[in-house]
Amino acid sequence: MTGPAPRFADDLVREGQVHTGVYQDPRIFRHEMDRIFSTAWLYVGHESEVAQPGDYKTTTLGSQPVVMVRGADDGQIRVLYNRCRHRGAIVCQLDRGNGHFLRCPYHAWTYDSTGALVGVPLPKRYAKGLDKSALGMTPVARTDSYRGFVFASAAADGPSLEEHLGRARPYLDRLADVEGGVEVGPVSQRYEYRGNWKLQLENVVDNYHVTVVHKSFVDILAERTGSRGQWHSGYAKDLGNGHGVLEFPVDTGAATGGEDFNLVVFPNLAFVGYQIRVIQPERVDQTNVVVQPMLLAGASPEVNAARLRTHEESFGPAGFVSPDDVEVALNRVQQGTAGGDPWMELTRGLGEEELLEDGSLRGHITDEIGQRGFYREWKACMAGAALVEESGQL
Amino acid sequence: VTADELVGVVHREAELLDEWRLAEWLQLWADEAIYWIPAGPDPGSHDPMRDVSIAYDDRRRLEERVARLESGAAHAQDPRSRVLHLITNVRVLSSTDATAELRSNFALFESRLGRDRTYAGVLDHTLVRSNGTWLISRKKVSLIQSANFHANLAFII
Repeated sequence: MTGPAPRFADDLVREGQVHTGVYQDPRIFRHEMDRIFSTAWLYVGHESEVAQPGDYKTTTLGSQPVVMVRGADDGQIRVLYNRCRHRGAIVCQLDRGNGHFLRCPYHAWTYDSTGALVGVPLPKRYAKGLDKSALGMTPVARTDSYRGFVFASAAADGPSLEEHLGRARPYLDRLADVEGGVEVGPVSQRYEYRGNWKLQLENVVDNYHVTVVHKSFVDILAERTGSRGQWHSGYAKDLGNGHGVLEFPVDTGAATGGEDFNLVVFPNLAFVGYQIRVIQPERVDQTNVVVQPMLLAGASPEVNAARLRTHEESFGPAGFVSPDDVEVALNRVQQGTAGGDPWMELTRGLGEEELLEDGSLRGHITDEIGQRGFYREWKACMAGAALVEESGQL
Repeated sequence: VTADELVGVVHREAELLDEWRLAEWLQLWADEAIYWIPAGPDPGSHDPMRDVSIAYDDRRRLEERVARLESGAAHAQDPRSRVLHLITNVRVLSSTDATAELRSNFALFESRLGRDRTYAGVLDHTLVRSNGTWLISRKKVSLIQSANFHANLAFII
């Protein structure tokens, strides 16, 4: 039944089935870093996080540290590899900062807020001179933003950001189209789990688990509102390009804080209601998650505080919802998939999908349609990646 | 008001949490209550009106938090964390017959599923006297790990 050992990464995904190697195999993780995180459009941050000239925010793209910085003079947002061109030290150590200059703490090589190298100490010992113009902090190959959401891609060529976002764009539009726009503050909630990065993405578009894993929270809301709520009404959609969404009827907004969908943007970005969630792979079995609720720039402090309180109730490492996902859907799946039959089920609603005019596939909200869409894209990215043994033999 | 009386409330609170006597722990709280764990690198400048917190519970949410933890369905605390607080350096910052502000340092040892974690930080307690009893109206937990990626803070600090 299990068959011979897979020889290529794309052997690990079949129609409605995924092999546990996608969560467990360090070779897969290395291929993912090369083939997905070194080419795809990855979310870096929101423009409002670097609102002022000289503002910067540090983060990682796959395994690579980067800094998103707004030029102090030209106001342009750039995404640069966060390392000094001299000896490679991280230049910006803090999560956030502001300045006309970024200075490496090792030998004080100094860059301006566009990344250009503007000064090095004791320059006379560079006998032939130092070509500072060639030694600026390296920009990530492509940077673009959509409705205030800034992405970067390490691949010089490939689909544009708009092409990549594709049918996920209307959902980003819905988030951005609020009076006064959205604003993302400097503080985030952060949690980690002992599991593969993809498990968190799958969980965001899994509605099937909600009344099981989150029974305690469902009960709290029922107690509070006197109604059991419609937890399994709505649609799941495969939007193409690996993106997937759960769409809830608007009146169950209590669960999501008012917005009415959970969206996964391939490969590692999710929106849960008005929350931005970035999934950062650390190792094949270790993942960091950064969560930021979006505020309404045009709303009163009281309205925004209420958004924060609603968010905190469910999410983050002490919420009523996220820790139970971490425990069950992430940590325990990682533990469980270490053994047993390697093939896992993803067949809910398979063959029942409805093809919409825009090309999306739609099913019942408890269908595993978003997960299948994610893995279709994953498989395409991983096509031909050989699972070479340490000896070098296939 | 003696300092011992006030400090005793902070010690009592830790004892009830360590012994998982959460219903009794709730009785230590005033009707107007805030249990607050700031997120981010600087709990001192954290503004809960603008910045997201790890937790910011009012009285109702505290009651729901306890009900959830005791429901048997809170997976992140099934099994529950065993916790032990060490409370030290307690300072009475101000006190009247009706209210008091205390600051203390804490170390919290947590053990669950064979894995040990240590948390530390500063506790700011606001106490109010109600019918002759000191109750907690506000507890701010300033973790030195407030900006870290946390594995599980579903237990009560």
